Amino acid sequence: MTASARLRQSGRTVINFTERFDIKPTAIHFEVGAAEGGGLRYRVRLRQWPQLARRITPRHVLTVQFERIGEPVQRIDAGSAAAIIRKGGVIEGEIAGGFDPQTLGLRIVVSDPDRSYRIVAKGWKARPDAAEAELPEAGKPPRSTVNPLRDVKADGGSLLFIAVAETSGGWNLKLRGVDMPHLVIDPVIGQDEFERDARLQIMVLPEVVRRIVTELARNPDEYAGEPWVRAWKQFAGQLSPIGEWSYFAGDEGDDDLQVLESRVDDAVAAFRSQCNFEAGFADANPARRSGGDE
Amino acid sequence: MNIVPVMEATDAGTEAFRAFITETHLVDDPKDRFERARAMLADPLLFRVVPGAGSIDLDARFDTAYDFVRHVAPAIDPLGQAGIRNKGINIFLYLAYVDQVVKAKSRVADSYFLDERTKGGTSSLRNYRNSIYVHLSVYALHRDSELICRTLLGSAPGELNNACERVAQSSSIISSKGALELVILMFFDLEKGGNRRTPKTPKGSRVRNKNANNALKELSAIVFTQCARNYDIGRMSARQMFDLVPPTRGLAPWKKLAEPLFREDRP
Repeated sequence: MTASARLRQSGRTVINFTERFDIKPTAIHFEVGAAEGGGLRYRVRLRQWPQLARRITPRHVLTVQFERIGEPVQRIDAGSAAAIIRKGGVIEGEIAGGFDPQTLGLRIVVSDPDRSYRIVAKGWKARPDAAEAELPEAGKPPRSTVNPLRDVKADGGSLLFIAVAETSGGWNLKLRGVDMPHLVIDPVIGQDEFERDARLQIMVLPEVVRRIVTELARNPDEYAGEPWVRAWKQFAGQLSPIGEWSYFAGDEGDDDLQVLESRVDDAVAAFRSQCNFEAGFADANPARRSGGDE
Repeated sequence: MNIVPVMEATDAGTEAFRAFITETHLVDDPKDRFERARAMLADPLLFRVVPGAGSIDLDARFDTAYDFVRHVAPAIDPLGQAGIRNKGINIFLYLAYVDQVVKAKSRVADSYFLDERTKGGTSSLRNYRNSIYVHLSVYALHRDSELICRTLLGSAPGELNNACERVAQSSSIISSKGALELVILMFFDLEKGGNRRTPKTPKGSRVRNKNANNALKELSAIVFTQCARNYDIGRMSARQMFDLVPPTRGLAPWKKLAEPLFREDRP
């Protein structure tokens, strides 16, 4: 049997000499919702982002195509792939409407301009998963951000900056040489998702408070020159039972680590209580909330 | 001057237009349909004004489809893509300029209705046969390219040249500037209009070279379908796509013919 005959007979054989990454339709979550002025907002979430993130670089370019049978493709030049990397595999925007959104197909193409726009990854979805989704306006922050450390103002500034790491691998804190502590999070999650999802914050932010307060209490001299220290001491002081930073500083020569840990525990508990993470968590998970009520 | 606002056919208007096209399929002169068309447009039961749209001049005359779209498009532009795909507006435009856009022998009735499907086992939309829809789509997508507009819209209003009809069948080609320029530069005679003459078959060859239409079919299959699996053709320039054209038996003579045009840094 010839090679071409084999290809004809085997329905699943795919010629892929460029080794592009084919995103499965089931790995694309595609939502569409009404926008002001008759347009349509769209939000695409790539569920295979961890595998994709390794292949996509900021020098690649992203094209989003919307297709309806019998009509020219609506092709949107989404620019550098840096945006999709920054958002952890989420693509958002707005297109012209005037038709039934249920009939809208989607094609995502990431290509390499340095190699004649050879496709690095592409995916296709015949229909939206949700055609009447409530989506935030493109370019605006998500509907409800619940990042308490960003929202808390101290001395006129925020307490924490959320940065996205270039490579995957959990999260980290950057405390030196910055105007405020940087929480560096995994690109798979992305800044928007982190600020939207109370479940992620409940795991990370209390630990951030714990590490920073402990670090400041144990090594005050090391951070003396950092511009953010005063704001954080003020913030941590408000979390203490006595309302002052001296609660954590302890007496001179007092090296009892257990005492410090216990006091920081008090502050973290106060922080959790103030932030009311559970409320945000319940909002994000109505099913779980109703289950809890039963 | 006879300025009227853009209107759309009601359901009754759509049925009246279907009867009109069927009954006047063949006339001696396209102007024979004029009176009846104007009477239909004046009937408020058949046509209603489209809010937000502009106006057109019913007395306007057009030499080419390019002239036609440049007159009509500004009135529809405020409606966006929805205006072009509006079946009722499409019918209104056919009737407004019926003596110019419908020939003495009209096309198959389905070609005048958007969202009509082909009959048979595999049904597909026939919008690419609706000349006004194709004219407006080409203009909406490529109004900044004089080369594309002059070539694909260079025929009489209501007429689709072969290349235009073929590229309009592919939703991805018609929206790609590079793909359209490639088709035009390879198969179109830019000076005389229409397709280029088929390159001469070498003496002694038993197989004749493919004509422009058949070579374009091969180009569509190889570059716009197969290569599109691995290249983002929507972003590629005509030159980059030209490099992808393989020297097959059908395309090699045409590629050789078009090579000087791509050397001139035209795309």
